[in-house]
Amino acid sequence: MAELHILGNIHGASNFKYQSLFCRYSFQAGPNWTVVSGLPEGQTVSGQLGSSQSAVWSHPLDIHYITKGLQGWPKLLLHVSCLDSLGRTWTVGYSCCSLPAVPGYHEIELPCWAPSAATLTDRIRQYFLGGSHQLLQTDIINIGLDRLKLKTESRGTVKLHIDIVLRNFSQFGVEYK
Amino acid sequence: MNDFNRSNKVTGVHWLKKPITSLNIKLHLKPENGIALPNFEDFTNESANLVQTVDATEFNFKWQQKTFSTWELSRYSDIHNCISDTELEYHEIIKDSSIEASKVFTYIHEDNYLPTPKTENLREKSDGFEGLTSCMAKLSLNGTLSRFVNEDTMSMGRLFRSEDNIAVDGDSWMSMHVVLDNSEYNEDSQLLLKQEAVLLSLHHNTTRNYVIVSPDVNTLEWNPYAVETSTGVRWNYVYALQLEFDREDDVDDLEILLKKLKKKWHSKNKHFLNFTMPSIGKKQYFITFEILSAKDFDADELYVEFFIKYPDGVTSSDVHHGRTHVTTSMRSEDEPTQAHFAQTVDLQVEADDDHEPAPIKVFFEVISTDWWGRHRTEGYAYLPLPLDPGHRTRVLTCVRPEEKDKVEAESRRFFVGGCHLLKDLDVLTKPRMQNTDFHYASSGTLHLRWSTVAQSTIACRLPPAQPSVSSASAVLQGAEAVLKQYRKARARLAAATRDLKCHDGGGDSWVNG
Repeated sequence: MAELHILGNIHGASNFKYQSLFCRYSFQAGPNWTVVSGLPEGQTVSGQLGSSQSAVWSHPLDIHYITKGLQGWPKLLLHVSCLDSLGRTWTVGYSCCSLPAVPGYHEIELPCWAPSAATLTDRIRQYFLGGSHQLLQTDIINIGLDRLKLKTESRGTVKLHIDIVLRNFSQFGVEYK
Repeated sequence: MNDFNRSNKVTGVHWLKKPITSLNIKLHLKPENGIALPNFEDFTNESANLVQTVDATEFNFKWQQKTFSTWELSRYSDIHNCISDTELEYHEIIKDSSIEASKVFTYIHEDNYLPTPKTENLREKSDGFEGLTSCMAKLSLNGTLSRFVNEDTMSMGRLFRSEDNIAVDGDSWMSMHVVLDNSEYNEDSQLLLKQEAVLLSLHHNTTRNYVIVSPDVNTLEWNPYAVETSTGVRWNYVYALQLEFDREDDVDDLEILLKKLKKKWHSKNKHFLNFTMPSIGKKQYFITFEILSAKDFDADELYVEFFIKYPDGVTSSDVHHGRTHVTTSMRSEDEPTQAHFAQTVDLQVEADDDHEPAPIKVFFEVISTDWWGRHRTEGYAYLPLPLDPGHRTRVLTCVRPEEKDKVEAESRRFFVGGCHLLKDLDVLTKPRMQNTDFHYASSGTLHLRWSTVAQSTIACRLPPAQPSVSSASAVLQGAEAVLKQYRKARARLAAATRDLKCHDGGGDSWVNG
């Protein structure tokens, strides 16, 4: 049985225009993949933007998959949210990345985006009162192939530091490097 | 410098599943610096414990088996030295049979050589209590404390009493010690200097049926123990210990049980063990492709349209075309404009295993939209996506066709926007096909990332099977070889019949003419 270990941390976010940020994450994989240990979803702490306009979370990741096929290689989905001074939260960025299929250490940058305000009224309301449009179906983040109708705004980036460990893949004729 | 304790000896506790009487103690002893090269025959035997057999003396003991040292033998052979029942018993044994002295000998339970864990524990407790008493005396608290301790009704008193009797009430122990005799004797086997070092102590808790082994079992090659006296003086000997139990008749039953368990486990986890494999003779490539961002483009609202063209010999049922969402670029004074996409595309392609496939062609068209809803191409890019396994990142420079006349090009760009469209994107792969009326101006960069994993049938990777061995992989390999031969034969037949058809065609025209 082939095994995949994902170890590392969600380092932090940069270039967001909000003072306090946190991130919800989830690993998505195909039906061949089973989580043996570790939590496939979680939430980081809330981090304040520092002088370099970046919030640091250093949220640890440790997940162990077993698989019976290569289809549906795991992906990491991120929902970056902000926390304002009134304690309100809303999503300010979505992102997705496919995890590297090569063992070793990887530094990955995930560019984020968020649905833009559809009307001028929404834009004014968001400017003065905060809040944002959110996706009802988050599947589109990782499986949408033609998503032209989705209007978004570019937001900051999230940095990921991970180590990938593959085990027994070569026994099944898999080449990864 | 700090004084480090370099001893590698640890104590082990073993729960017994078989009677202690069936315990065999194996001890290998050898000089610490004794190096003896193994013979060639030793290698041909492929013995796993090669180092142990070289220059190591093996001693075997059973549980409570008495072995005598030279000093003990001379002492107990004379009845005048024997006082206790045990000593008299030893004298009878030595007298009745011809027993030889051993360098490594044993002290059994009746010898009372060292205290058992129970007595040690009590001694520690009594020491601790004495220490406590002396402290109390110094602090003049005895009167106060005894009032609490001696009153049965007080909960604290019960606590003190219970801690006093907590450990080993009712537990009984049997001990055995294996000792190395390094004493000096004269020619008449009379003792000159008595030197003994305990190699192994076994304490059997008969109540709860476990054995404390001090030090625990080890191997001579990886973790040999040094022979040391109780004061820590080393004697240039190393040794290893093994504990074994006699084989019993129920081994076969156990083997059958294990086989059944293994079969049951396999049937239960069958769905995990069946790894999805490509068909024989084919190689599958799994590509996870990401369009990350577009930078340095003039327009604010951008999206990327991509087209995938598979080369000959590579098949895929996945998409050939897709579009990202429309995103508004981030603008800042210090950094270039950035449009974030983070769109992932999963591709699964299949190719023949016997040859390396050509790279997949991926064409990108970066398109802008405006508030009127007009879509205008900002640039084109082309990526030859190799199918080599690995994780890669690439920055592509996007280009757009532009008139050679600079004024005309700028006025078109200002009033109309966009650029001239390419009818056939293959122009990007073959620059010689480009229209000479235009030149290509860079319009921005596109950031991409992808991982590729390849999978082929295992039969191709296994070493060739022995002819006598019949296995599934051998059958698969045989079938594959037959298929290859069949393909070659069919190709030869096709080549031969092609010539024949040409001749036949000529013949027909000649006949008809």
